[in-house]
Amino acid sequence: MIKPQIRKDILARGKPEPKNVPWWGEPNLGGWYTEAEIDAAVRAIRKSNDWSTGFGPNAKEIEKFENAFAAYCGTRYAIAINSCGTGLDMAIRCLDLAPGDEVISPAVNYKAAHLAIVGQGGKVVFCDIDSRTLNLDPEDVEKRITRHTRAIFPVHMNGLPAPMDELLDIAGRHPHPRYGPLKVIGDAARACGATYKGAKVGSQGWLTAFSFYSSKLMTTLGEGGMITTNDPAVAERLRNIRQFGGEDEWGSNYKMTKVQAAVGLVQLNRLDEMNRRRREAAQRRCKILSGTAELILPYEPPNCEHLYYVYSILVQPDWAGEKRDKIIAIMSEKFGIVCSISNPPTYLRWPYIAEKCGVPRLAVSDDVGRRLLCPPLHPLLTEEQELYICASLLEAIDMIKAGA
Amino acid sequence: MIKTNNTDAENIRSALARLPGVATVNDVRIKDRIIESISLENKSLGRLVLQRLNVEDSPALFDFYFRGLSEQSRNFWPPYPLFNPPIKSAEELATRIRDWQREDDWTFLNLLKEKQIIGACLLKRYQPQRPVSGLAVREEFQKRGLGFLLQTIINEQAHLLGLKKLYATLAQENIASRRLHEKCGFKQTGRLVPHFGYQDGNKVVDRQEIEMVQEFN
Repeated sequence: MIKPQIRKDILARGKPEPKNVPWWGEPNLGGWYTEAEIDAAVRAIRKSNDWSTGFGPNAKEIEKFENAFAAYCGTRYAIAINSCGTGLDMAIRCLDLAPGDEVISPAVNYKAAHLAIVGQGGKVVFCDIDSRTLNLDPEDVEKRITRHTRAIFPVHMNGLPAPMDELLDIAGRHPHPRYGPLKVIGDAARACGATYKGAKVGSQGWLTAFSFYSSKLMTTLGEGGMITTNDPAVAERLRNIRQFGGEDEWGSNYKMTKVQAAVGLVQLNRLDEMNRRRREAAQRRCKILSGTAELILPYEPPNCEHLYYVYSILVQPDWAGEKRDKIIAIMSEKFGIVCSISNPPTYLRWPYIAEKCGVPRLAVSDDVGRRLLCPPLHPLLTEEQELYICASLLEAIDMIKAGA
Repeated sequence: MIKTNNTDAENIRSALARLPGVATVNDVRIKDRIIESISLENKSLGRLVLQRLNVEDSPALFDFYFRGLSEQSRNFWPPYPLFNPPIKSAEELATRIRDWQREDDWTFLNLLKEKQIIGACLLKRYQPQRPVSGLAVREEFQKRGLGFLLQTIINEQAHLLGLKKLYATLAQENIASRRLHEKCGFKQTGRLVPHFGYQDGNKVVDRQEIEMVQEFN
């Protein structure tokens, strides 16, 4: 906790640098670059700068990055692509959904997962979540399985691994009459490097998609992604889809560039260090905010390593909705800190999703959508920046309690 | 035109001359901080030449790998990208060499006695902060200090490139290699890393390997 007088002193000093830009709940750059990434990019460009070489095809940097990523995750195959969003599309395409086929996915999510299902003609079956972890609730998943269910599509929410053991058990116990055990497809856009019971996210399940977008835990020049799998047939199919379908099927151009892969190799080498710094930043914040009666701080289950892609706070139930919104408004308008809500149920956030997938009104998801609050977190936040964020949040709460 | 920095060449010459099996080091050629060739006299084997890999070496290298190494040695050392995924012919090996020749972040050196390859070593720098080395010696030439010679050369190559660390991963049952690496200054990191092999054409994690690291001053 920050004592009231110290909080006043922190706020009296004003917003630390950078002052004149908003501090976003999901900062624009998730990790950071060193000279090594810059050197790798320049080197890859220089190497490409002759007419007999160019930037492709079959650049070796991509193969090296894929092999290194597979080894890092402990999986057999890794397929480098141009974004996680397209990776989710590719993953769902590999299900070969028929009309009426269902995919179970948590409602508290970014819309990419649900767009991927809709895009392939499937039916999104929203499931509820565990409010402590923000990950999908296996019990609720099991209740929603029908004979049309083809896959379970967890998101490793905000850097915390989904309960894979339970999901794989459910998938095995409820085989589809034609396709066998349900496929488990992981969305690990926010969980690159996270650990579940000693295993890296991406090593379990049928497919897992990762994001290397600018704000993510590591980035390949602002865009990029990877899919991991242990299934040789689907790995080959994904490589074909990535390159206009190969010889035998539909595809498009989903390839990562050589320069991105060169930078990705360096970022991957530095990922554990960046994630460690991020966890330390989150743990520092937990210490500062612990004991604040109005807030429930992020939960890390035993045997899981939470990477705190965003720092997800829930306000107490009596602060849900309007009061939570006031905290966000005060922090933005008075202190220049933009808290994200990562994420409300997609059916409430995006009308297109509601129209295509329905509005099931899941009790926990709806409630979490009114209580979530994610102040900016970055591995390189200075102590002064961190204290300012925490002091602003506590001040906003006190202002509301005083009638603001 | 081969550019040779005399100091670099001299450093390599004196590092090799200190090895017990080496009588003299005759010639060291370096180009752009990469060892091109070394010629030396070995006390028991006579003249040996170390040469950077060329496409023309593919038949001799294929012979070295598939006839010169035991099945167990090949299992312990299936170096990517030349022999992993598995290949079936010298022509296929030539294609791999040609395909990867332009990449400047790996160095493969053959050790020759007359025209036969009797050893090979590799320094991969694909992951800039985790360069990896590997080596193998033809069965009938083992236990003659050639592993130590090859690792010393790789260490010198790492020095030339300014590397601060060098990693190696070894099958847990490869005791001889572990001893050699320890002798050359490697220490176990305590980490096990997955090794990828091929079974029935499919890539599989076939074992967990010991990771070792050597730090240079």
